[in-house]
Amino acid sequence: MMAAASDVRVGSTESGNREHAGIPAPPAGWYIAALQEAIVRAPRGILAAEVTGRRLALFRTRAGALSCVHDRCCHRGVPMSLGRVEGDRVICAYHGWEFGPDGICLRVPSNVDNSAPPRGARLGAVPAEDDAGYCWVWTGDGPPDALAERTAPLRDASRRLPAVRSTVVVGIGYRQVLLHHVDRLSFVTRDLMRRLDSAANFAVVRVLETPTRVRWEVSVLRSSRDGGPAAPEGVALSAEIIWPDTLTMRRTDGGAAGATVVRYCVPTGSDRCRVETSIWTDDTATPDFALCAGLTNQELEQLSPGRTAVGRGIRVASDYVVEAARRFLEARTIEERNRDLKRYEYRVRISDG
Amino acid sequence: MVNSELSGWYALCAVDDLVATRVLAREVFAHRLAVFQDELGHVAVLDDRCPHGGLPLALGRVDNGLLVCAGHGWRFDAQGRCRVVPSSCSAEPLPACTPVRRYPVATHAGYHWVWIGKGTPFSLPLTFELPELGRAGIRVLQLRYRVRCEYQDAIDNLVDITHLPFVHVFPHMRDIDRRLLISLVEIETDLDQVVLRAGTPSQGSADAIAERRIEITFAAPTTVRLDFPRPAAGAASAMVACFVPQADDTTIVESTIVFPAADDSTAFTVARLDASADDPFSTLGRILDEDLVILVAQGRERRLSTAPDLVVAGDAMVAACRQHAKARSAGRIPAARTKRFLCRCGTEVPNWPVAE
Repeated sequence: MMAAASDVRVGSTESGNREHAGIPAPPAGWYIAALQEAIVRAPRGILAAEVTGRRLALFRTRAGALSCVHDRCCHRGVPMSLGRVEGDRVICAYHGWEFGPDGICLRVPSNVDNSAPPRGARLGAVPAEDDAGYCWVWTGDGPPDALAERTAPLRDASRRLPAVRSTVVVGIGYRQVLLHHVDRLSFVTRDLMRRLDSAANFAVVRVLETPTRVRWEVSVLRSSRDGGPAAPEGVALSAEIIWPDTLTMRRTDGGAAGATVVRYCVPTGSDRCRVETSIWTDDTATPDFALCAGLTNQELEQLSPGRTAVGRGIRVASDYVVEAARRFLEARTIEERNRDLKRYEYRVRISDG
Repeated sequence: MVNSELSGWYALCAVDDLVATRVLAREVFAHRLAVFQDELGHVAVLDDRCPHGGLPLALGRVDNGLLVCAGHGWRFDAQGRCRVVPSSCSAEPLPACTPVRRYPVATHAGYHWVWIGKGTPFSLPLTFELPELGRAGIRVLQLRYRVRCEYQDAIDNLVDITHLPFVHVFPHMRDIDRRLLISLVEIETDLDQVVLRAGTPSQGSADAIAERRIEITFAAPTTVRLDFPRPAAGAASAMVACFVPQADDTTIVESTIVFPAADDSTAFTVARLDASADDPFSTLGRILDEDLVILVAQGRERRLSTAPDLVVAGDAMVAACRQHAKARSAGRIPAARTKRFLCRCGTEVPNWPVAE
């Protein structure tokens, strides 16, 4: 593993944080295309969205059913998202070809006798569903899986609506964005713990890997007067990376100021992604609020290929969780992930003394 | 790159753009060209590369009708031959280098043209001369601009009348919509050009256009002329556009638009004077903008996907122009034919919201 990492040598080269050759493309599955309300706000009722390199257009029929087609007119290749929606039809901006919600062409206006549109006049249709405040699209070729598994993190969090929802477009690949979170969280942990409990000088990190998740829990460890370790206190922070693009963070310390953050880092292209964040919290006013997100939206926007890649380079023991997350994200198959599953526990010094 | 090189004449610059002492840098497909005028006023088009150090010749200047390279001052004549090497002693003979590649050049319809490709240069149709240019009271607008799309898509856009009611949305276009609603379209292909005429079908004969609204002429490889019979006051009566493919799959458009002296005609026109604005160019600018939105998006999409186009009856002019250009480029004589069909080029109601 380490030999492979040194072969790649990313950190300071110009390829920066780009996803590397040899790392598989994002797996087929359900991904968030947009916030539900974004379609309503779209100027002509149609919204362009990019998911795993596919350019898509989303719109709704009069009855409110969500429809998703390839964002390319089959006539001249003009994006359908430049067009408009009228009734149940989406109309191309160039020659006014009209398509139904299933992407089949219904009318070519230049045909005087209203003769049938040419055979094969259709836009590719993509399965799309509304759930948990988002529009989801299926990127696979076969019939779609159940969506519930993908939306579970949004349901687990709370029955209430999130206090904050936001969308940020980021100029690096989704795996790198997830790794930046893991890396940052290990640092935030240290900072946070010290603030919460000035007497604490160690944290215990428990990492649990399953085929679809890497989960880690952090609890504070207060050393006893004689220098020997005492029993850890309750879990202060827990986080998970869920295959393929989801991150959840839960703070349970500090009594009332608990918070949950769910972030979907949707791959849009090979080296860019769109981060969809939902935050549940009772305490949006305090500065700690920013910390609970791991990376603020401003910090996300600043991530660029020029910055050092996370997950490569010199590793120390306290980077274990970053390493575990990287292995997890770069795995190709379930079998490959199953091979390395571990339970691991280690200590991180959180006081400078 | 989807574009393949089509042999033919391409516009280099408007005649007025070429100043005696300057060298212009131009590009047609992957050909980089240096354009200048010798002392007799003959236009010379040379490969834009000095045989000495490889510097672009267009960085240089013109002195006494010779192109002076910016690097070491080597001087070249209009034939591309090296005439002076300043660093050489008087006894030293000129280097035995082959002349710089020279391209055939012509002056026509207010432009200098270069012949690119194989075969014998054919002549450009006389249609592209704009006789109005010299007349009193005529205003002429010459535009040179770059579009980030392939030249073929830019030509398609200009020869295609079925896009008018969908792309061009502001009030005066609604008038056109109604007039072109069901048009009789006549497409005539001959050796030199493809001509499209469209207008209201006549009551008596299904094959005759009662009132011609628009006439479009295309000549291989990339030149288009639009004519608007009996234009309204302040509106354009004719336009010539030459599309010049660039190496990076963008397109340079060289166009001349003629605004005749005012008259009272209220016939069909594209660039009608806005009631609120004195400037017919402002309407023209909006029309260009609306096309550019489509073309730039299309250009971006073409770079990402090679999915083929679908062709319907309304695309007959686009198809005829592409065939004509391909045939002429290959040195074939395009078959003469005429095609007539009814085509909807407008909408019953102005169906686009007026642009905000």
